[in-house]
Amino acid sequence: MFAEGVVVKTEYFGKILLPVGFLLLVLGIWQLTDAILEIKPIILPNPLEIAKESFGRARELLQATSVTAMAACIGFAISIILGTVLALVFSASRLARQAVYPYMILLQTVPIVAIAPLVVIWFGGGLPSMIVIVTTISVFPIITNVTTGLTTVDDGLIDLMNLYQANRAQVLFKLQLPNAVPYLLAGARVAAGLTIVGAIVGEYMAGHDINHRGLGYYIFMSSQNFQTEILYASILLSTLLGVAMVGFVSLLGKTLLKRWTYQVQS
Amino acid sequence: MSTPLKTSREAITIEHLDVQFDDTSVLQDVSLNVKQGEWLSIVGPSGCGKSTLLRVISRLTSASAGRMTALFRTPAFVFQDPTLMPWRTVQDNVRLAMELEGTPLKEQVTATRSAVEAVGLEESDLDKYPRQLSGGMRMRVSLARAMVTQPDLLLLDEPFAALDEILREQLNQLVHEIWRQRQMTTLFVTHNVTEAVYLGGRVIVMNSDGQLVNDRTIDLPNERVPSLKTTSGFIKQVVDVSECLQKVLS
Repeated sequence: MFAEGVVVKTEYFGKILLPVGFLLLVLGIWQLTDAILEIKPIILPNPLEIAKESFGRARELLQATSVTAMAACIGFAISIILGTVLALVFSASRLARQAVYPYMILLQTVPIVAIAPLVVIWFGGGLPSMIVIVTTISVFPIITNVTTGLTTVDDGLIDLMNLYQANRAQVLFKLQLPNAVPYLLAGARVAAGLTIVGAIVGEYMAGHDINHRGLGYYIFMSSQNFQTEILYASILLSTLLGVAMVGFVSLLGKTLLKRWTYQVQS
Repeated sequence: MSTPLKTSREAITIEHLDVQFDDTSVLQDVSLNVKQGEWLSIVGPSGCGKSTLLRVISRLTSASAGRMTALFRTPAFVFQDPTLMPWRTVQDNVRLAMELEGTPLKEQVTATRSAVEAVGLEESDLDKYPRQLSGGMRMRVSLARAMVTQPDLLLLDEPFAALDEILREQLNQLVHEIWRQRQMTTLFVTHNVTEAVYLGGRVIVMNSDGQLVNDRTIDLPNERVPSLKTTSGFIKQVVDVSECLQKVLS
């Protein structure tokens, strides 16, 4: 009991107190340096100025965060569905896999900022283009991971399904798809981080409508107008959004994947 | 305890069987008859094609040449690894074959409970996942999965090789007891001559060229109890099979 309590306290210290303490230290040094060196706010505003400006415009910044989050979530959901469907095609057809899969890998290397203008030409400005850009950037990890999960099944389990004369649908639903779940979640974790990048790039490239101004708009406008406090606040919110997305998928994965491991619990 | 039904009817007849993988010959000119209800142990050096023979009989691998007639409705295979689906509970793993066949759920549940009990697992284990089980328990689940469909052919490919000696003996004894009760034709691949003789009614020896070089009937009582291993009759037969295996290896 005593040992358990000590372990919990050590974990709490290591995982929460230590990083929070370090952050406070950095903010303190930042604030102090700014005060001593009298750096112009346009170059480096101090943390208190950023906080003051952010709280003053909290409502519009939160609204912008929700717009970016919406584009990211819709694009992410489409990526999961589209990526899984394409992976199913690649796993079912060797011909399709051999013909198309290499290009899917190749497409991953094309920078999103190079594709984004094309997307805007095809889909117009605003939310639809943002969603397409988010989907484009986040779909590839899903395709590659799920294809791997569907095609790398334990030979013994395939033998078992053959022994029991399982049909193709049974093999897919009872073996291949469950086997691909850890791979899907690993791909989703990578994709989740990319969705915010896609959403911000999308806002940069595809613009916005008057009712839907996302964080990308605020980053762009504040940098143009030298509103450095808002720029920092927008960057911070984008980062937190990315962390929240990755955190959610990781938590979901951790919960679901408990079943998928053979590790014996003590 | 009923005596295994050993009819004169052949469950498996193999004539001049060849199996080749690319240019490598794995089985060469294997001819073999196995009677219904018989326990046949197969020994031989690593890579001699013992497992391939089981795979051909279960139709998981195709033969390159030769003929095979196998009269069975429900085969069951226990592999070297437990090969359990980690995302399914014990009961879901055990009832997999019945689920694929479309057996009514009620029957699945009843048969699963009975199979799980027969292999020495408890009802409280039914909802556990493979990760929550020890290596021995996983093998028991694998055995229960094989037994749940009441197979008439049981193929055992070194099923307990990875387990410690005590557990291995326990499980061997358990499988033999199930065989005595259910009288299914059983083919048992092993590296261990003592195990092959102790469990088998007949032992065949294969050489590294994938040929069947010795086939002998084991003259021991049907009921196999550990004390049998100290008898001179048992020891003599182990020595005979070992000598045959030594010749193959030299």
